[in-house]
Amino acid sequence: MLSKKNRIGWKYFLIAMPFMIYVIAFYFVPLFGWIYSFYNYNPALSFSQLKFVGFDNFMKMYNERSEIYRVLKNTLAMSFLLILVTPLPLIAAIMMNEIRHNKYKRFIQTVTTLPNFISWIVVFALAFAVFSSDGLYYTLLKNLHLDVPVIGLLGNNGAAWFFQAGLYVWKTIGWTMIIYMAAIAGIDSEQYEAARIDGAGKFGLMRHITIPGLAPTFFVLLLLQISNLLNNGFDQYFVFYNSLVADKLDVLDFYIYKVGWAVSDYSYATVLGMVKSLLGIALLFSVNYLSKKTKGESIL
Amino acid sequence: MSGMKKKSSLLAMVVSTSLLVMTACSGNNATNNASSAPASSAAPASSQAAASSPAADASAGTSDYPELPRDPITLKVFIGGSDANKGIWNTSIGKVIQEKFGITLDFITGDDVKEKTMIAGGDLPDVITTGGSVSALVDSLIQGGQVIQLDDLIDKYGPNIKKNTPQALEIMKASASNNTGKLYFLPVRVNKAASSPVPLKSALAGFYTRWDLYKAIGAPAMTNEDDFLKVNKEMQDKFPTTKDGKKTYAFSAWAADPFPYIISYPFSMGYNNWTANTSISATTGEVVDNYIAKDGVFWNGIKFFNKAYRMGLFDPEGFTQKIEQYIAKLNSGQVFNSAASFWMGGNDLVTNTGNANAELLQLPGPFPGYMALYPKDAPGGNLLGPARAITKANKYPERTMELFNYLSGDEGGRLLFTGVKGVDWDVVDGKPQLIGKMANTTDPGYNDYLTSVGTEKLNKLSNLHEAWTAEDGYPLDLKLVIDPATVTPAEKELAQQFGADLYPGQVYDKLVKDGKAVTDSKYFAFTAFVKQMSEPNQQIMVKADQYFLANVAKFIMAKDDAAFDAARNKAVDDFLAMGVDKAYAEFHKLIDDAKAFVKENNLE
Repeated sequence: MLSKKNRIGWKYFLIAMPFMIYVIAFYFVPLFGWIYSFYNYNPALSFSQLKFVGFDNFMKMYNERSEIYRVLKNTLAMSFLLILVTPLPLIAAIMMNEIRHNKYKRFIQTVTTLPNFISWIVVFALAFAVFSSDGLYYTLLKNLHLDVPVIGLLGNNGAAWFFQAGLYVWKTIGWTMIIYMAAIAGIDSEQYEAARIDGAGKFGLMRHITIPGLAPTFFVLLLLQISNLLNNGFDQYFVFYNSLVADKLDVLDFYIYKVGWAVSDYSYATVLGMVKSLLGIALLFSVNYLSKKTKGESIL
Repeated sequence: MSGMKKKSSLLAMVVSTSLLVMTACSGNNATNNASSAPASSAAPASSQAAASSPAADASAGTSDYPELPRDPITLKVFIGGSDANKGIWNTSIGKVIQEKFGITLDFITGDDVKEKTMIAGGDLPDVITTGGSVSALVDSLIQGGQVIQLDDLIDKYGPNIKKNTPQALEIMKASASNNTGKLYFLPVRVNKAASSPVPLKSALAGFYTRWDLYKAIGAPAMTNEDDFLKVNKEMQDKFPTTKDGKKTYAFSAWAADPFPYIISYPFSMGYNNWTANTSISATTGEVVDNYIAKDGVFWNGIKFFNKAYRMGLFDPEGFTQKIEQYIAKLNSGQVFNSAASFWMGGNDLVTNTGNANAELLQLPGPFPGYMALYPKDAPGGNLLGPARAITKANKYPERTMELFNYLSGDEGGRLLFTGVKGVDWDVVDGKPQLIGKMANTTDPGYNDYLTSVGTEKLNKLSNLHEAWTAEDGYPLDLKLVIDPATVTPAEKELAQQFGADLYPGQVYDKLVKDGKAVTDSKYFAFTAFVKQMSEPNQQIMVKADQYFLANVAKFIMAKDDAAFDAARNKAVDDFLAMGVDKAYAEFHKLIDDAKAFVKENNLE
């Protein structure tokens, strides 16, 4: 007979089981695919028919270092921009928390969360409708007799990183805000009560209660963001990539896609993906360690 | 609204199929890009009605074969392309196939990346079609045992295929067999030239210009590309905006696809696009290494677009928009030139401009090339772009081959390309003719009807080209027979302006016969026997494509000749640094080998 404690333990274990299976199946099993980095992979051949090439694909990374450097520059630039805008959902959540009209609050929340569920190809279509030379934005400028550039934002090389960061914020701010809203809901209301008794106004409550209450959540999300420094995602850049902004939007994930699926150099793409993952893990542990040392907060 | 949706999906399908045919032709015979070919309305009458059963059709062709079961089965076929054909093929043609053979076709659509993923994951359909980068995998597919050998099946169940396309089978044995000399892949769109060819309604690709606007500026004569640019400038100056106030441009393009740059200009100059980033002269067979031949037809085309850009004629959004937006601009009248005959504006352009004679047509004069003007010899069909193979996952290879055989004969081919006998066509007064809704091409619901029948462009199931002349003397696709009632006002006006009586093809035909223009009726046998380049060199070529697509705006937007030359020279240097010249060297070696093979085997 299992003791009560063990029974509860088993219950929790069983509840967690499907998620563990999911993580193992989709995050750990694919790691076996790294073995292809040592072979010349061909999708039509079985593993036993593949040619072993040792570290050739790793050497290729060194030989193509100028390409890697170019792609990394774009990747890091986009990532730093996205880290800079990390506080935006936090600020938006705090502001949202101050809205007293419940229907209006829900409306805003729904409207800001909705873009998270729109695929990037649809975002492209919307962006084209708004920012192409005959789109909403430039038509408005024309009607106001303002200068209209020949090439719209989608082809503006100088603004490419900022435009993409803006789209990213537009798409994700509502979703991330939900996490902060949940964290705000978790702050003990007695703290607000006590602060009010101490004479704190609206901004005082924000400054002394809400923001410190959200700090742990913010740092967890920031750490995750930093550990994702090399992961810009693929689809956003895939749909917005064009000849005018090619040198700005060629980020690592998109580059790996091109190497793998367009050039059909699967093994080299595997090497790049592997190195990216390992660097991501190294980054995560580094920032976690730094956070632990400096702030005493960590996620691991 | 739903009508519009259907129209755009049909268009997308037509475009994607055409793109597949034109740009994904790996090892493709550059001279077999004809999308259609009309037969003279005075063609000989039917010698005999088509046979009524597959076995009878086969026996009429060559020999009988053992009867196969007719219990219902479903064959999954990777057909590629847009989702318009996705899923169970529930069309009139699909139903006839179900009734005759008990076979339900379930089409898998998508691009070569999806197909490669399916192959890699062991998720093989019953039939695969090569195309794009999958064409490069043919030897590996054979080596890996993913596709089955077809020789015995053809012997037993392929009399039509053997009778109608014998050379295609030999070509496939020589060039797509992993050096085994066996047959694994079946080509599509095999064709033969008529002894006295009748020109098509129009040529295949080049610059297709707004006829109504050209006429509105007085249809000035043109003799070279500078004249053409001047005419476009004049049209753009006279019509700077559309009816709803949008700025117009003479030329445009779309992002992430070399199509706009490897088709219009080279075709206009008498070159076809070919595999390995080359262009091939339709008249001499000369092969141009697109990326590194600084004064070749490819870079001359880029220079042409650069001139257009500097004259304010090239739409800058051609670098950022997708193909859907490009087509929308053509159909709304915002862009004056399209790249091929499958973008001529149609009813949408007439409605949007309010001009009954608004149509995109190839204007005679400025350029010499009118490609695919006649039905022409294509004994190897489209070679690997695409070809079909039966996979090891197929439990019914005999019945699959029986179906392919049926669709590669007169009866099945006519079903596939024209529709159901007695409903869509029939022999009337001794001639096969379109009947019913299929004959009513001006009906607003015509395109939807074609979709419900299933005829449009699904030409990956037969070995034969839609223009293949059946034994009754008419093409398999009876829609190709030119009917004066279906010639548009613009086509007629152009024809009459340039001394012909009915349609533009007659004008081009005269120019070709007078030696003032060229077409690609000559068949270069060596093109069918060029083997695949080595994998590293194939990868270099794709990288070169990526480089070109990432930089094309720099070339076209160069501010003057010197800046253009500098940008082009830097690009060529970068291509050389990538090793593109070595890849081209290997390709030319393969061409030499193919020429030698053709000579040794008297295949010219």
